[in-house]
Amino acid sequence: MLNKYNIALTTLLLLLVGCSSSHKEFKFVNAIELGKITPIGLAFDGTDIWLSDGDNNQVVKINREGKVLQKLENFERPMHIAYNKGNLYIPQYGRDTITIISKNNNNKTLPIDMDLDAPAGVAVDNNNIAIADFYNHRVLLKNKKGWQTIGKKGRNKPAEFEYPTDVHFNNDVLYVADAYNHRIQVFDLNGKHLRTFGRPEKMNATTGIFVDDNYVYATDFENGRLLIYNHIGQLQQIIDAGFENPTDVAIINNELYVTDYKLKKILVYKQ
Amino acid sequence: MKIINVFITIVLLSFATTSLLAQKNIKNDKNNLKDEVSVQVDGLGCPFCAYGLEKKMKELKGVKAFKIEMESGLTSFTYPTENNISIEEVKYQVIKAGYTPMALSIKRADGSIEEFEYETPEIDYTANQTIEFDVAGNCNMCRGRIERAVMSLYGVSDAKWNKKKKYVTIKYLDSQVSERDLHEAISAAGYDTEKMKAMDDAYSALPGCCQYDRIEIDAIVPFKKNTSTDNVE
Repeated sequence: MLNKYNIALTTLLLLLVGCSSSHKEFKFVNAIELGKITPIGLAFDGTDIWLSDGDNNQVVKINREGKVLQKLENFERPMHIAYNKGNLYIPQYGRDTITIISKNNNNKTLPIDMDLDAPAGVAVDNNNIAIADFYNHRVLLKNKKGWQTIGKKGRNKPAEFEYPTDVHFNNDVLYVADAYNHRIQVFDLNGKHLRTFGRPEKMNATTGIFVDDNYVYATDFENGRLLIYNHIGQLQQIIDAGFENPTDVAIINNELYVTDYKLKKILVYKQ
Repeated sequence: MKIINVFITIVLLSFATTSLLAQKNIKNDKNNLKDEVSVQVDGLGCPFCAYGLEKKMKELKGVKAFKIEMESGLTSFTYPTENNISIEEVKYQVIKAGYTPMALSIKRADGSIEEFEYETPEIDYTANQTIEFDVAGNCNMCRGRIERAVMSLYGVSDAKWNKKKKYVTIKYLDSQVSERDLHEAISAAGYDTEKMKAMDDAYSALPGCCQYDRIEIDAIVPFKKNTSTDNVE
């Protein structure tokens, strides 16, 4: 009798847990046409959207209707950009530098103790900076102690990378798009590996990553998909219609913005 | 007589000047000569790849008129003839960029052509090993975690955990993944294997119903050596 009671109670608890963590699906809202811009990275400055346009070596500010408001030119393959406290951080893949553009359009180079080889993504949060160092198969992390490297080239073990392309912080946790290992790796601010997920979904180049308090969003470039996980790596939703080659993703005012390199569009979704 | 001397001097000077200019022009022409290089690579699919190949090619100082076609993977550029670029130098940069040079040609300024064509080796990517070992666990949720952990490894084609007998059967390709990798993946998911205990914090993170009786490992049994990632330890 007691055994049956226990089973019923456990089932009820599991159902309750299941219900409380239920995911409300994102649905397509609209597409923003970008003309000749081939978008790679996406960042939001609180009012407008910044896009890195790798093919045209420029970074462009647009409003949410897609109207170009500002163009910054003469970069060399700008990739996954980040915006923090009035500064736009631009990794220049072809120049091995991170350029910082201030609100007043002054620019400077981020001082780094180590050599980069094709920085593909940058993330900035409080006093922490992370860089996806593509050809060195590692991530550079600056915390209060200074710069350190995370990982090395490899296919399987924790903290092994195969061409990492993007990084993002959320609540003092660092998420890395480990592009050609087709997975996401998670680290604390000391560089300690916490978990890995995404392989079972058979991504083909995990190019862009964004994390908010609810989800981890990852673009699956070759398969034309966006994958949405919870923070412990359980898959919540796959959006696989409408994309060709998605490159980056961000949540802007509760809407999900996804850049598509081939379509030259931003696709917008809402829960 | 004086007039004749002046005339001869002028003629000689103009002859010398013309000769020097001609020599300089020949030298300039030689400096401006360009070899045309074209490379077909495999695996070029995304802008990261294309820009990466461009970056590595531009490490060869003197690369001009660089063009890349994303869809076909065809890349071309010109290079100063006087630098005499070789097939091997171009191949090296392509490989450094992470790609395989499938076809490569250098058209020299004198019209001669040097070519290279890659011969694809036949590689069998199917699993060549099957292994069984004990893994602790309680329930179907444990089975899901154990199997997912192993299937997440590059080179594993199948994994089944036997709930009754508490062992896992894994099919894998030993050039891609080692026995140690398999044990590490399972222990990182919170499960003791016969050769590797799970970290305490990974075990503690399991739901209460999945917290199995820990395996006591009496003696360390060495891992089988193979061609995979053991050597990086």
